[in-house]
Amino acid sequence: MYDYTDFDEAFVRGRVAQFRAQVARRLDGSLSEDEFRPFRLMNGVYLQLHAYMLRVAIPYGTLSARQMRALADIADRWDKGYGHFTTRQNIQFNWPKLGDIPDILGALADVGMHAIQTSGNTIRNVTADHFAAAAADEIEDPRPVAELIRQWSTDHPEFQFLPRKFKIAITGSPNDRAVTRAHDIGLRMVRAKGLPGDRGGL
Amino acid sequence: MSRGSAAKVVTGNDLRQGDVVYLAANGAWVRALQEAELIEDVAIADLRLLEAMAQGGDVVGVYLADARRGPNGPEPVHFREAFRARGPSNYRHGKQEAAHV
Amino acid sequence: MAAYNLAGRRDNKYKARLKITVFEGGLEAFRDAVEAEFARTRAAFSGVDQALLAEIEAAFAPPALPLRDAGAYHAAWAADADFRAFATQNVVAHKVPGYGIVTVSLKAHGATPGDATAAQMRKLADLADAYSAGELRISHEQNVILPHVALADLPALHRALAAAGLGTANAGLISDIIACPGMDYCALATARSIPVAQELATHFKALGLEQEIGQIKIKISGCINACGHHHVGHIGILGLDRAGVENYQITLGGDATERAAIGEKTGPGFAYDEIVPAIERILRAYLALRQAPEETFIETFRRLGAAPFKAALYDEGARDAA
Repeated sequence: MYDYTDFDEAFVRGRVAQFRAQVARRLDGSLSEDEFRPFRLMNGVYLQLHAYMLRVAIPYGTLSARQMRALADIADRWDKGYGHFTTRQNIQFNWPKLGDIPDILGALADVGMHAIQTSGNTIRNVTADHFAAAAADEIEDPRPVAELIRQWSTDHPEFQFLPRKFKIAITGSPNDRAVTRAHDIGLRMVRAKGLPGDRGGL
Repeated sequence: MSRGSAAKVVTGNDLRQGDVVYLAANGAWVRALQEAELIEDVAIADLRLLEAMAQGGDVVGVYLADARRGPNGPEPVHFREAFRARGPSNYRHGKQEAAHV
Repeated sequence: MAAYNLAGRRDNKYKARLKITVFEGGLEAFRDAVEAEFARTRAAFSGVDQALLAEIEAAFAPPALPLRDAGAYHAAWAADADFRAFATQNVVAHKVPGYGIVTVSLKAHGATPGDATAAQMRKLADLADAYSAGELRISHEQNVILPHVALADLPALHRALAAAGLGTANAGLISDIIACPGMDYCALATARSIPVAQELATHFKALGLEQEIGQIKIKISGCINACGHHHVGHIGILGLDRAGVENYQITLGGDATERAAIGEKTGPGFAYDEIVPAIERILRAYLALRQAPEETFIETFRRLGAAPFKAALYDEGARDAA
C-alpha cells in the first residue's frame, strides 16, 4: 500500500498545527464565525443539525488495518463509539466537539490520514473501484493514477476556490463499479495498442 | 426559518458542542425547546434575534424558527425543527441521551 | 479544471457544477476551451509526472497471494447453508485463482447504512490482517471490502464476521441500500433517508421476499444534492419538503454502471408512511412481470419501460388492497 512521503507527512502536520491555532482563536472569540467557517470547511468540519461533523478522507477507498484501528480509537475517544462510511468512500464522525477536532486530526496524521479537501469548492477525494487490484475483469489498478491526482490536486493553488465542489472517479475495469459516468470527471482505463507491455491507457 | 405570522423562538447551535440551543426569556441559552421564550410579536422577535446575534460568542448560526404554544412550552411547527429539538431517529443520541427519553 | 474554473458560474450555487457549464455552453465550446488551455500549457509538461507515477505504482505492488488448498472452502460449502448464502452473495472472483473478494455488509436489516461501531472496525482490522494482506476498502455502496481473501480462509472469516454481527449475506440485494444521512443529521437535508432504508430492509425481510426479488439497487437521498445517488438507483427515492411535510419522489430505471442511466420520475411523491408500501407495489409488479426468476428488476424495466410499474404504483384499487 501507498505510504505518505516525508513531504505529505510534513504538509498534514502543518495543517493540523494551523487548524489548532484557528480553533483556539475561534474559542477565545478573536475569530468570528464568518471568519472561521472557511477555515473549518478546509479541514472537513461541518456544523450539522445536532453537532459538528468531521469528514475524513479515505483516498480511493483504500485503508490499512492500522488506519481502521485508528478510526475505531477516534470513534471511542472523541465520538459516540461509531463512524459512518459515506457514498464517496469516506468516513464521517457525527458528534465531535469543536475543541477536540485538532486532536482528532493529530491522531489521523499519526496514521497518514487527514480531512483536507473533504469539503468546500475544491477537488474532493478521488474515488476508485473498490475491487481495484483484485477484480478478475480488471485491466490495471486505477489507484496509482488516483494517487497521482490526489498529490496534484492537494492544496493546488489554482483550484482551491472553484465555482463548486468537483468530483473525480476512476475505474480500471470494463464493468464500472465506481459510477464514473456520474462524476464531474470519470476516468476509465482501457487497453490501448502501442503502449509498452499492453498497458492500460486512459 | 420561515418569516410567516407564526410565533417564534430564537435558536442556533452551541459553539463548542454544536448542540441545538434556544434563547430563554431571561436571556440564557437553553438546550430544551420547551424552556425557550415563545415570542408572539414579530417586531420583538426581530429585536431578540438582533440582540442574540450581537452577543456573538457562544452560539453559531442564530435564526428565528416558527413555534407554537403547547401545554409544556413551545412546540415545533416544521418537522425540521422537530428533529432539531429531539435528535436523530436512528439512535437515542444527542438530546435524547441527556433526557433519558 | 482550468477551463471549468474560468467558465463555471459563480452567480448561482445551484448552477455552478461542471454539468451545468457544459449543458449551458455546449460540449463543443467546452472542449474547445480545454484544447486551448492544453495548447497554452503543454510546453510545461516535462514528463516528470510519468516518473512520479512509476514511483507510485511501485508502492501499489500487489501482495503475495500464494496458491492455497481450498479443501476447507468446499467442505464448508457442502455442510453449511449460511456459509453457502454468504459465499454466493458476498464473495466474487479474484484475479488470482483460489482467492475471492469479500463484501462485508454494513446493512444488517434495520441498521443504519454505512455505520460501523468501533468494535466492528477493530474486528475488521484484525480480520484484514489475518485474511486480506492487511488491506480494506470502503465501497461507495457503504460496505467494507476485504479484497484479497484465500477461499481456504473463507469459512473461518465467515464465522468471525457472523460473531461480530457482520455476516449479513445481502450484498446487492434489496436491503443493501445506500442512503445519505438525511435529516437525521444533515443541515442541508429536506427529509429523512436513514429510517426509510431501515424500514425497507426490515419490511422485505419480514415478507420473505429478499431472495425472491434478487439483485436490485435502491438508493435514497434526503435532498437534491443527491449524496445517496438516487438518480442512478434502479429504484431511486428522493426525500423532499412539500409544504412542511416529508414527501418522497420515486425514480425508476437508473443505472450506475457502464450502462449509466438517469432514473425516470414516476409522478407524484409519497408521504413518509406511504413510501414503503409504494416500493412494495413496484416490486410485486416486477415479480408478476418478469419472464423468469433470472430476469432482474433492471432487466425487466429495460424490457417493458416504466408504464407497467407506474400503473401498479398509482393504481388505487391495488393501494386499497395493499
